[in-house]
Amino acid sequence: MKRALLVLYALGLSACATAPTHMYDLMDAQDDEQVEAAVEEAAQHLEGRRLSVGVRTAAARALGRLRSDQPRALSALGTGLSEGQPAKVRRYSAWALGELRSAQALPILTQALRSRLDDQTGAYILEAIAKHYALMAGNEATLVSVVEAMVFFGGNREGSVPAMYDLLGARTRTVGVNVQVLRNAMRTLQSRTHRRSRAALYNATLELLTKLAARRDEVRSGPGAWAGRIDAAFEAAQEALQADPDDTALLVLWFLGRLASEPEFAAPAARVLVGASAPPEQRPTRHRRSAARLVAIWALARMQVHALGPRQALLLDVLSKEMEPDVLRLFGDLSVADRDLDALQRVLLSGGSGS
Amino acid sequence: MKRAYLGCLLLVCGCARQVGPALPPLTEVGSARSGSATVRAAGHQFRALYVMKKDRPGIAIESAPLDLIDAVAVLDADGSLYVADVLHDKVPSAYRQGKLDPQDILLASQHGEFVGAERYFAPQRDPLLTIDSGYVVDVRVGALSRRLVFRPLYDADTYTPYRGGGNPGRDGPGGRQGLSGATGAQGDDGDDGSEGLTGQDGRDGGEGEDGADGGNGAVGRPGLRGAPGDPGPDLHVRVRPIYSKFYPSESLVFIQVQSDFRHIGSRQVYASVTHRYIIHPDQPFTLTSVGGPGGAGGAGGRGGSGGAGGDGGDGGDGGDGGNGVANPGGTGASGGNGGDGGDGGDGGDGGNGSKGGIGGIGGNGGDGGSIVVQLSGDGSFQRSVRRSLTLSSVPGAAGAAGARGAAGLAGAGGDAGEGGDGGDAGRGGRGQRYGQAGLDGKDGKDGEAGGRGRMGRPGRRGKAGRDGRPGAVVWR
Repeated sequence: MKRALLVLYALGLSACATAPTHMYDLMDAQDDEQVEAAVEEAAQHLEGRRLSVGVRTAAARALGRLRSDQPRALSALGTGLSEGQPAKVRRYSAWALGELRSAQALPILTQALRSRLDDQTGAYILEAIAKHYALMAGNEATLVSVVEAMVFFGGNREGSVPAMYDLLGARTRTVGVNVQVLRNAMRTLQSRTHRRSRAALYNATLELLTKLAARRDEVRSGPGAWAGRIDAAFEAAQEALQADPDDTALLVLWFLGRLASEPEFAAPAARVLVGASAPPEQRPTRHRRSAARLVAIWALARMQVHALGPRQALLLDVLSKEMEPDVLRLFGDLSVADRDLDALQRVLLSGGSGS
Repeated sequence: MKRAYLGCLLLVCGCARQVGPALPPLTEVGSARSGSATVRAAGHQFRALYVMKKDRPGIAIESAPLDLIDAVAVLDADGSLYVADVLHDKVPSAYRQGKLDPQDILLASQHGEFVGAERYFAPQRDPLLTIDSGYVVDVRVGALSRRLVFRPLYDADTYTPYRGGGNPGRDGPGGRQGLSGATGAQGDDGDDGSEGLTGQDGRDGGEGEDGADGGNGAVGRPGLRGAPGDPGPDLHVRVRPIYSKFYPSESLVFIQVQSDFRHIGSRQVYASVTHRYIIHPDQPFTLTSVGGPGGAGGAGGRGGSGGAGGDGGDGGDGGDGGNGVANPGGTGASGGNGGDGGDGGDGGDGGNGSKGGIGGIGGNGGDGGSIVVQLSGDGSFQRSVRRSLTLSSVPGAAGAAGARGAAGLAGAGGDAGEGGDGGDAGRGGRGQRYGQAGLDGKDGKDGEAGGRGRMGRPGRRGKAGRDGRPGAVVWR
């Protein structure tokens, strides 16, 4: 019987031949040759799908601690981070890539943000990307690719995004970067109409216009310096409005109304709404969705103080054609006090002349 | 058992070191974004509420739950507008960011209910409830509320055509298997012959008796008749013109169908159900009363198996011959001959299997219910209704015939009895010369095995039931 038990123990040991502690020993590698050998061994174990999760995460940890950005280490960590791997292996691989702080590790991390992720794995990837901040700062192309991946990730979350998303976003997202990200998202949507790409477009628009709204005080104090960026942002927003005439269009219209009470934003916002770039029948005031028309009219009413076009648009596009009672009711509701002329009356009295 | 536990413990110990490292904790960077939350109604003084419906022509009474609201917007005291446009869909959280929180939008209706997390509207099924009001839905945000009215849709093809059916009859039980024939009695063995006295022959063994023949199986019992189906419900239909402000230019058709259900042979109504329909004139619609199908007849019982034939009795052994008398001075006397063994008895023949039972008769289909239509309205209305309304009383299908019973199996023949052994010869008597020994007796012959009985025949298939009869259709 004793012999049988010993055989059983030996079988148990052989089934679990490589222990995680063996991977920790690899971290003691000193010279280049030892490091190279350790990386190779750890990489093999990380990629070994038949090995236990414990051994594989220990291998990822060893690669992170060795801090070697050899192609062998990068490819193994990329495999560990890919879709279909156990969550813990993915998280440890993300952590290890963050430890590398290498220009070669960053694209692997940004690409992983576009895969299907659970919330915690996403948080580890974002933290790993944040560790690369020194490498991306000042490099707009890198920033754009990072923010683009973040926007895709953030736009497709069912729950709220990790706090690191905003912290990293605050450092990486400028209006210029956001405009470029939005244009890239539109290009992606044109080549591949997919629900997830559409959500990325929505989120890119949201991030851009939120960033612009947050800069209102800066714009007010130095409008000249901002004019070009505002024009670029609104042009991109207008293209997004046309690219996704449902959800993104409503979002753009709402932000235009929200920003249009500021004189610096009113004129470019009016160009989006009633500019000559789109034929009148494609203007938001003639949108097939009454919700979009309601928001467009609210936006026009708010910008008419600072721009000329909106009044004429209200008169010609809206009053002569709108049939939806709730949309028309908005005019009366925009009147602040009972004895004031409401927005509709003001438009009628002005005869659309802007006087 | 203790050893098994010890074995498992050793296995666990062997793998214990497989636990990997714990994940490094994520860096604490404070709470999530400040501007990410939805806008809650509680902190605002909203001035106006706007509710935009989904672009649909109206609500059909029998439609599956549907999404009704495209967007809700509220105007704040400072002129800000907040929108919620994802009330019914599951979308990524970014789509709700900065928008009015859907939780603060309350939907209610006395003409249906909002079901599930997506708040789809399941309409009430009675068209009379909404003919004047339409489907009224109240939308509330904080202290503000709006009332939406959705037009009822009366296209006949949005209804499932009415079809009331009687209960089906129960299937008849199967017939029992016929009794098996009795096994034939075994023949008695023959008596052994007695040993011969000194110098005399042994007696022959007696013959074994023949086995008796097995009994024949009994005929399988017939399957029982299937029960008849219940009649289709009697339909009392009232048709009259009806008017709705949602369709001011036409006189709609109101149909009320009261279905009275009865069991077969009973005049008492055990259930009464009323359905109402409103349809546009000249649109085809069908009302049907169907009799319940008859139950299938029971299968006939299997025929009884024939009994096995009895085994033949063994023949008795022959008696040994007596030894010859000794003659010390001369020749001993001759020994007696052994007796012959008796012949074995023949096995009895197996009994015949019997015929299978007749299948049961299928139950009759229920009769279609009667349909009586009371028609009101002017002549052209009535003519239009007669053209477009199809009334159908359909008899229930007859129950299927019961399957025939299988044939009874043949009984096996009895085994042959074995012949008895011949008796040994008696030895010659001793003397100066031994006497002559007797002759051994001959073995008896084995009997013949009994013949196998005949297989029975299968029973006849039952007859199908009769279809029900259609009920009367009367226009009044």
